[in-house]
Amino acid sequence: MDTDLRAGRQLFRIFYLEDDLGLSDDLRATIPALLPGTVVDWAGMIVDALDLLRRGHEYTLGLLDVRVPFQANKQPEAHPEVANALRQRGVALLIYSGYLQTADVQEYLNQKLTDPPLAVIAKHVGSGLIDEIVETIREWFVRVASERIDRAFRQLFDHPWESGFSFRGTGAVLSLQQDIIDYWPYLNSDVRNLITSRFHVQTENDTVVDLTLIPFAD
Amino acid sequence: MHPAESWASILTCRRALEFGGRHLFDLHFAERNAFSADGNSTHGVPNLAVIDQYHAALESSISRLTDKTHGWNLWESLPGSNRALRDAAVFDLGPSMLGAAVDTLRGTPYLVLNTRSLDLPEVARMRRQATVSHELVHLLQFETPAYRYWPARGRIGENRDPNWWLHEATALALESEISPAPTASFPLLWNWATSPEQSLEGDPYGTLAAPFLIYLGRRFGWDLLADVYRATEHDVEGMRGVDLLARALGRRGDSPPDFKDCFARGYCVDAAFIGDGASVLPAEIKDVIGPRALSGRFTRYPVDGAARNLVINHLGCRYFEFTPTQASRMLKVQVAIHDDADRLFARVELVTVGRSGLRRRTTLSPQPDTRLAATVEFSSEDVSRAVLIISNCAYGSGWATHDGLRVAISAQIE
Repeated sequence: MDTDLRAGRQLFRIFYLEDDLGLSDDLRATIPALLPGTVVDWAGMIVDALDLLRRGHEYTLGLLDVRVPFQANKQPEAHPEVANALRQRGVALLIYSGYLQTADVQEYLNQKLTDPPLAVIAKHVGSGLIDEIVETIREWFVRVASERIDRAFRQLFDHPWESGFSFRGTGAVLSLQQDIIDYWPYLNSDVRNLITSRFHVQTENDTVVDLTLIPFAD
Repeated sequence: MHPAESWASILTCRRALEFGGRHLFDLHFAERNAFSADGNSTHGVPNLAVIDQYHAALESSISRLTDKTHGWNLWESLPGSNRALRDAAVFDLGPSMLGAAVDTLRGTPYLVLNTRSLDLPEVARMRRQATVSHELVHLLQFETPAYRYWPARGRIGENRDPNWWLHEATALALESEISPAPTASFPLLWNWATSPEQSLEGDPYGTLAAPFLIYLGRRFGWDLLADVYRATEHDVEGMRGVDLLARALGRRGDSPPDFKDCFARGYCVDAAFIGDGASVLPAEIKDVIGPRALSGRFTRYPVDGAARNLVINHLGCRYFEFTPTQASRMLKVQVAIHDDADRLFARVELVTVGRSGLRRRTTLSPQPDTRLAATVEFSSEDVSRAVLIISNCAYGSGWATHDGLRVAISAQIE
């Protein structure tokens, strides 16, 4: 049920719950293609989803259709188990449904979730739905990646060294460099500016091709 | 773009380092000019003594690392190039970092060293020396198959590469051997001293493994560490850091030591007695961070099933001390291994320390009831203490690495 990472490093992992095979096939193909470095783990019903969660992967995002069958040969219903399991792990949720105004879906959204979701999208027919979902995911990835690099960057260059118990050096610089290379397409302009204050960055087609640590400008 | 071109506008001074008739390094720096608006006020060194220290430390570290004792290879010269083989830039790296070796995607790897003084002057001088030695080891590692071809190479750095601990432990061990400031890193070994049950693979910074590599270097020759990195691409594929160490150790001389024996009977025992005259590990480690922690001390007998709840991770160990009584003549120690599968990996040694300081080591042997046991002389007139050393040697790929060894210790005196 997992889509493999086709090339490069895994940057993000999405947990995807959807019983519509046509839509799920489209999104499982489109997301890794438009958001490189993304792995999508898909389940079509609640029991499979709970099995998948037991594997212990860390997820960047939960992408959930609200009404899905609990198990095979059951009718789709609004079951909150998967959403709550993801929220308890601190995973942000992107929820969509074709029945946002119905009572069961409203109850799912308003009462049974431990936290409000990242976004709720009304499911509608046509390619616009996929575009809307992918763009919302991209915005979330930009936020996650930018926060990650910002934190690592400041830890390396700004935090005072604690004598005897911690040190920063080659391992930290190389980790940060690799993160910059991997996450560059997802970094916002503030973080890119932060990076270029300390690194000379060479890019080709928005891909980092070389980095050099430089004296920052006054 | 060559790294030096990225620094050129601010780091306007250059000092060359020649070694063996080759132009080995260029040190790029600026002199501090408080009135300058071009970056020198921040990145310039306060005085040239800083550059003198870095230059001297580079020269002495290169000389030591590439001698026959240590066995590291220098970089190949590029035909027709008049550049130095490597560059080192000295500028303000902030308050967190002493220095780093930086690998690049397209250019040549280089060193960065901090202008800032992060300590009192005398300590800062020692840290500069130690930092140069440490980072130079990384710069040499970058050229080796063990660094280039590791299966995890796509995951670079301390929080990604599961073998990063080996790179750091090697740099820490060699830093303590070749640097004019050999003890500078010893405060970092605090967890090694207080938690011997942790795996030497257990931290990416190499602080849990560095003393083992120091032991190997002192016991079997420092060029052993260079040999670890001399593995070919084919060797490296599928091998982890510990495998490469074991492999290099297994190629020492005509009757090479067994890795597990070397770890359990050699290193773990030696580390229990660090600071006494016979210990291979440098006494300064104990001076800085104290002895390795005991997990139990027994003065009353019999002891029945002690330490049941304590665990030992792979390539870790625990120490238990027994004190003789006025009436004791012999000490019988029995160790029950909790999990049958762990019997293959557990090594148990009992070392008595005579009043004269003489150590005598006994390996506990299997009994018909599956426990391990040994009986040793334990007169208070002749013996000051006995130390039981239990090691977990379950390392390797997949299932072979097994943490959580648990035992029960019983002891009686006669």
